[in-house]
Amino acid sequence: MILRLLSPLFALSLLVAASPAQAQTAANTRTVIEVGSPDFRPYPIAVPEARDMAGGKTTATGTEVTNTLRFDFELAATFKVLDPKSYLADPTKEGLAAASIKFTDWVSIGAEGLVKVGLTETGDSLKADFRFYDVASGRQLLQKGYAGTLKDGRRFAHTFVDEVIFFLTGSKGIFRTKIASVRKVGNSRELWVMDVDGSNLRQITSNGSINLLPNWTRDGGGVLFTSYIRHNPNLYSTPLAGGRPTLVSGERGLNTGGTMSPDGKKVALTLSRDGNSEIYTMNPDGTNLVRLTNEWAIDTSPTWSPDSKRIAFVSSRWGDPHIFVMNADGSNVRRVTERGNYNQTPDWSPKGDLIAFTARDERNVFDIFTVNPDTKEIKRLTQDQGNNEEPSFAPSGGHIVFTTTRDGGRSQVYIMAVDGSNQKKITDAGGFNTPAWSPYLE
Amino acid sequence: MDNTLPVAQIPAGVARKAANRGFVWVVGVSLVLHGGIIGGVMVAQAMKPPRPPPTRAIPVELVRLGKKRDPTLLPRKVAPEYAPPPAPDAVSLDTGNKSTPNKKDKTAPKQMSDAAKRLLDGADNRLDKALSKIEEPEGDPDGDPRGTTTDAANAAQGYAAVILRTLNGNYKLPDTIPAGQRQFLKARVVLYVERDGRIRDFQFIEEHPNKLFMGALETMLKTLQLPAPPKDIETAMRETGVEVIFKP
Repeated sequence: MILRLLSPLFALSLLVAASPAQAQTAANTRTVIEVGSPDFRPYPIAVPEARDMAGGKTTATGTEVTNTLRFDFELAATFKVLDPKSYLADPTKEGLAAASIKFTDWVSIGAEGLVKVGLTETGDSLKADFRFYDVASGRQLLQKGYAGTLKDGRRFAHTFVDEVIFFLTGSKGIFRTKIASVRKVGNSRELWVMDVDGSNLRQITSNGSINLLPNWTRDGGGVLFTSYIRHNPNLYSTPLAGGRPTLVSGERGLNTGGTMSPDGKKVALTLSRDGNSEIYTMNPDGTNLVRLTNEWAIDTSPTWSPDSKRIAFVSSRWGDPHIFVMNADGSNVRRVTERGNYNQTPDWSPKGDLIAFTARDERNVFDIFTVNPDTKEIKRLTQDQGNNEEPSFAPSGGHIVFTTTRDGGRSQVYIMAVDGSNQKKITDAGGFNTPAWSPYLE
Repeated sequence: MDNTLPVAQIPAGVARKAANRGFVWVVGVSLVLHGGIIGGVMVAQAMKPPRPPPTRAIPVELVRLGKKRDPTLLPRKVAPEYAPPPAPDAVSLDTGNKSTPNKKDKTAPKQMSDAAKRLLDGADNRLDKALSKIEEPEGDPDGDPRGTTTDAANAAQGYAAVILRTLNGNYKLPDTIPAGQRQFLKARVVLYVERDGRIRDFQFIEEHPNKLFMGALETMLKTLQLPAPPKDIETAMRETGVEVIFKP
């Protein structure tokens, strides 16, 4: 009787005690809305022709330096290089020092930044003086001098663009990194390496076999790849400087998609030694093999999170191939793409917030998307421009390299900003596959 | 000597009174205890420092007006380059008033040859066929014509979409802010919205040193009129507010 009487009192007291907390939770969930500026435009920058400090004429090196600067600033996506035809100043007469620059001429064409370059060529040697000005104030913001040979002109330009980007944003520039890719050579497929602007293209394997799926070692000194040199798809490592490839994994069946963890302690790869494609990890020297997945379906294409604690991969365990994420020990597997029906080739951003992947959409076209591994939000980056595949993040996480057939014929390598904007072609030769962006090299 | 009475010998009225006294005593103690607990909880809650409210982020995008897209399909972009072209200039109606073209007037329309007419007729048919193949825009029937995604799942919805749409229409950066500085601008502000949609108060929780930017935001927020919030979130909009991040 007493208990029956007390029960409602208890319930009432609990209700009174709990209500404020519940009400607080409900009321205090504050919505956050992001509003982007509708009239955002990139930083307008003028890059006049590099000046030959000795003769005043435009040299081949000067043209190469100028073109490299213009390409890099455009590629960076936060700059708009103003059309050189609109420049009012005569670059052969205007000097490098602030006192000799008529800034009103640069203000008139809408420039806010101005890059001036002076080159001194003596025989094979080259001295370069790079300066960056704020046009409105006429103030010199940055000056760098470099010395080397005539071959170094392009490298100097890449270095200076990195310096300007670091000065303005505090983030490291990407223009001294490299891209490895597979390209068909006769009946074989060999590995090639190029600069971010597609220049300095050179072949790093020449074994006459089928070489596939390059991935950089953590120090950027070499490339892991799968090769049929010994008639089985084994995993090798080759130094960038050249030399014989070293066997990393030669298990029976597939040894593919080798990718080194960001801390450099492990290599994740796909093996089919037990009959079915599964994800494994091993030490970089091939020892301590650990199986992470054990499914009837295909598990493949591992990619590491930047903290080396998680691995994203492709699995068809739920029917269609989708992107999954698991802990680095194989636990806590969860699906992160729940849309589309053919998602593959994941690459985890060095920033950790996104995984880029290739997906076939309902029009049977391959395009590039990103997915946030935590919220599962998917964004499309390419659309209506041929097939676009095999994304790989720059070490900054701000750009993505990929291959595309948009130009017709053989696939080319393109680079775009991480939001899909500013897509630029960097190769002309064609026939490239599976590009992989290096880590920072300097 | 045993002074206790056998139970059977206790009169019924005395026993009932004793039971009632016990019940009153227990209820009294219970009330005091529960009152103490409730009071304690209330005092503890009053003394607790206010916690920052948890937040629920809303994407910057609005879903486009159009037929509903299958949510299992991958999203499509609705960037400006995919938007329909602007409407052509107005076409004058034929009033039957034929005027002879002035031969000196270079802007006068030229007579079309039969071959050209036939060619155009054919083109017209082809155009009709092509137009019939153009797909109906995808998005959401309740979407925005200026929406930038077909993907309702990743877009602002409900009153958040209303706020976003209104702010997008009002947020203009001053032309005097150099382009080089625009990309680094950012401010966070909490808006407290009245029942009729007026901004009751706003509070910057992150300011940018650029005075022009902050001034433009303040001016806009002081005159901003939002549509009235739905009844179920009126109190939340008024008391907790909504946080807006302005960035390039």
